[in-house]
Amino acid sequence: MSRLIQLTFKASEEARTLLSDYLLGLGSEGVAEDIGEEGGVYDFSAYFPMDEDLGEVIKALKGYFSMLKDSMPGIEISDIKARQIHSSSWMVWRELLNMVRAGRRIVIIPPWVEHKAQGDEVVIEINPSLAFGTGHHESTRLCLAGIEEIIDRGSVGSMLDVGCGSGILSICAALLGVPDISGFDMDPVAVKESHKNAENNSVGDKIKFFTGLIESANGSYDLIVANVYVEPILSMKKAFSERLAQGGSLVVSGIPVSRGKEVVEGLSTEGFKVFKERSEGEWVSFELRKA
Amino acid sequence: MKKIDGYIKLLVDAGKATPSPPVGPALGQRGVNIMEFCKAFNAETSKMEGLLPVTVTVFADKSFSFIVKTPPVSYLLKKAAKIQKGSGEVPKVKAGTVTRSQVEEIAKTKLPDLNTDSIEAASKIVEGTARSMGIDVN
Repeated sequence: MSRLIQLTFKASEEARTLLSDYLLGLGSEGVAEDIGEEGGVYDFSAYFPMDEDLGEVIKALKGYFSMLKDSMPGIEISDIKARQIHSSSWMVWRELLNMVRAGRRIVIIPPWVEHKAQGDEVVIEINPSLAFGTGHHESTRLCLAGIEEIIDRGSVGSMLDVGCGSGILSICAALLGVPDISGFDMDPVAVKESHKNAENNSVGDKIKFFTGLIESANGSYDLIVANVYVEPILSMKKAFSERLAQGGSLVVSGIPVSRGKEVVEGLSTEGFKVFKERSEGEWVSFELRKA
Repeated sequence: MKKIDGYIKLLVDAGKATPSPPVGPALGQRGVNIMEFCKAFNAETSKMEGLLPVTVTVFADKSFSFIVKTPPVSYLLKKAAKIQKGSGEVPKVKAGTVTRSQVEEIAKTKLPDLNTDSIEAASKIVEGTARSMGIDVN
């Protein structure tokens, strides 16, 4: 089994581009920069073939660190470590992207996982790819749980999916029986992925996806879902209000718990009141109705 | 909602990404769907040539995006000096030589990635990188 050397260290953000460049120049086959838990500090991993002289690499790297520290005061670089890894360790991605559950009965699987629906489970197949919405983030699962609960509570005739990403929320709504669904995203790549995923779940003909902004969605909807972020949610509050049908529900997600109050207060100026709050980890989602 | 988990930088042959190193280990350990990356990268770079630097942005739910960037300073220096590799024993062993105008040319190419608008400051960074690789600037 062939092996690789993985060299790891921490460095501050200012040195990010230069360090990656330099490592690739030293013969690294790839460099990963992970945003560390401490703000502004990145965890670097550089991969070198086993025949590379590691001593030489570390010596050269230390020389480069000194040069950077002299020319860019304030940058921090620390904790250089090296270890061997199997070059086949990349296979772990299939394990990391496994089946995930949301709400009461929603199951999300990648194409390489087989899962037959048990009881009233709703199985959604999403190929984790170039669009957000694989089900592996709290904000998506909170939205799915909201959609499921609202549909279970009463009939939903139409839904608007704001920033549809992979299309997962629209696909879920279609599988739960919503007859009229529109989804849009500013990113054409996301819209392409939405189409592909909808086809794979046999609901391609039930959802209208388009590239654009909320202004292009002209209808009135029983349910509007927006798994975006705080700023876009607040900037679209008037558009949400204008498009939500009488008695309809708005579900917003992608909100860090620490900013929940800001969102609720912002939306209240359009007459929205929180009907239900859902949270998982550091993320919160709100289901709102017009007063 | 697109919370970024990290970035991965790779040098990959245009149109020829495969799950073998460097793509596999770097992306796979972060749970990125390698086959989808290879397919998308190869489609986008099918009409390009040579080794391309690519930055993959990995989002919190393991979805990703990527952009093909300007070549790394070290790569451009090696190309300009016509060498395969920098020196591992700086300053004892020299790896090659580049001219000042080549340094300026590289600084201009890399300006968008170097957090500066000044060619002079960018040239200093390029020179510093050259020195660290054992490449003399004449």
